Amino acid sequence: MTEAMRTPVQLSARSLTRHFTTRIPGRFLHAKRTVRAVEDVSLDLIEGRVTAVVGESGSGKSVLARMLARTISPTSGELILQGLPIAKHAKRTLDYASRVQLVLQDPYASNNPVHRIRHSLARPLLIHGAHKNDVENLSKAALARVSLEPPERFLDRYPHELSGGQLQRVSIARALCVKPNVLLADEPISMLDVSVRLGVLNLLRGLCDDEHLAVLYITHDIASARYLADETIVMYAGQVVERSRGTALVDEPAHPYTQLLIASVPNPTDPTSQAPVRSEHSSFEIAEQGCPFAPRCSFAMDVCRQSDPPDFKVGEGHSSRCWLYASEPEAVVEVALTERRREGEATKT
Amino acid sequence: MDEPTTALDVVTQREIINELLDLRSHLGFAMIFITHDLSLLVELADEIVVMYAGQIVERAGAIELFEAPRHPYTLGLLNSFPPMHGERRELEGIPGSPPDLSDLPAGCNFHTRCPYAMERCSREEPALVALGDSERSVACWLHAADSSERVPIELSRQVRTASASAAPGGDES
Repeated sequence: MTEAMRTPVQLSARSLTRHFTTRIPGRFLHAKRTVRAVEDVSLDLIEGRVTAVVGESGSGKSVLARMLARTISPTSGELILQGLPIAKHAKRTLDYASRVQLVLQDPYASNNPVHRIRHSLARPLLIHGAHKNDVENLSKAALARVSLEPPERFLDRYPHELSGGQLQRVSIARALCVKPNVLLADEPISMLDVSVRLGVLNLLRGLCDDEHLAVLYITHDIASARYLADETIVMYAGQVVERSRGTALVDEPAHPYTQLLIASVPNPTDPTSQAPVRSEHSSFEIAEQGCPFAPRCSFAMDVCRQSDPPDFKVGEGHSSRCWLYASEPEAVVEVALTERRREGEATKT
Repeated sequence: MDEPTTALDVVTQREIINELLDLRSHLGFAMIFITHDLSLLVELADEIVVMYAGQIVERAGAIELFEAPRHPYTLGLLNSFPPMHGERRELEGIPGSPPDLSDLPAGCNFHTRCPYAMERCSREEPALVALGDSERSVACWLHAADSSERVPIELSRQVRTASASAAPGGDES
């Protein structure tokens, strides 16, 4: 209880799910396919903490961020902002936008190239009710907060006149100037020069520590997640497959996918290490039934192809969605299969 | 190859790299691999050439460059990758941002961001010269023969003997 009071949850997602329906090209009208972009994801964004979401391209991490920012509406599931549930079909309000802000990957694409930085910062300020006379000072303060100093030098520049790192700082300043409680950062460093990436990561860490922001850090770079995050979540095919507090996930990965991910990271200290990549399967094969990773998994058992695993606890604050960690996987599967059979019969009758 | 794996996730990157290495050993071609990912190069390359603002600043064998960088920019780059092991500690990266190529600073291109910059660095541009009698070369006044400055310890490390002896051992097997 005291723990919860010391670290208030700013934004919670409960079983967020998003499916997209696509037509299969070349087939007749009703040939449709459902893409399960995000499936049953729950997470808490806590004041003063960084939560990292790691996953490969197409794992659903950006859709998750957009659902949290409410620019994409979930198929099912619930968002809870500062303890208050958001009604499912309610419009995204100005109030929500002022509490939850999103920073995107490419700063050159997310800042209007024909407007000066002054304009980009003034717009959200005015929309969110700042007085015209205060805009100049508030903009300067926002730039100073992200270490762009002196602010006067940047206000009248155009985006193309700034480096990627500087412009990404402007994007963060723009998000911060409406005083949000939650900052969603979707791959904020992947487009930046290697030499300036750490600066942006350290800035996010500082905002978290000094201003008690709740930060969601989305990345495909697991090393940067280890560097920055208080909690790390690994996504595969729209599902959370592993999560842990601290660095446990990288230091002792439990899920085979996390193990593969970590083994694939270039490792200069041991160049002879080879990742166990199974090449006989296409990388994009995702199981329709059972564990989505089963077709690529070197440890796949019959259980995995039949039934989707639940979360299993593998350590303190560390869980993995993998049958390997079930005490008696066969017994659990038997229950799941009986349930499915019963459901099938119910729909038939 | 110009950044062939930059837009890929690590698992796919690993598959491409393994495929490339396979093809190279079968077909025996030479490969020039352009990337910003130094840790990938250390694993892949025999020789690494580091460029900054249009110029080569250091050139060395992959292991030598990784374990014993000589140019401050190379050292900064190596420190810009958060490690996958060990205690978490704050890393600094390289201060400032890459220079405007149409308006390069006088002297050494890197001196405005360099923690070891001396007075000479802002006046004269260092040339790429061989280091002693070794195969490697570096463009930095710290390593100039007539430099009175002591070379900082992090830029004068030696290659660890363990890995130096491990390399030929790997060839034999």
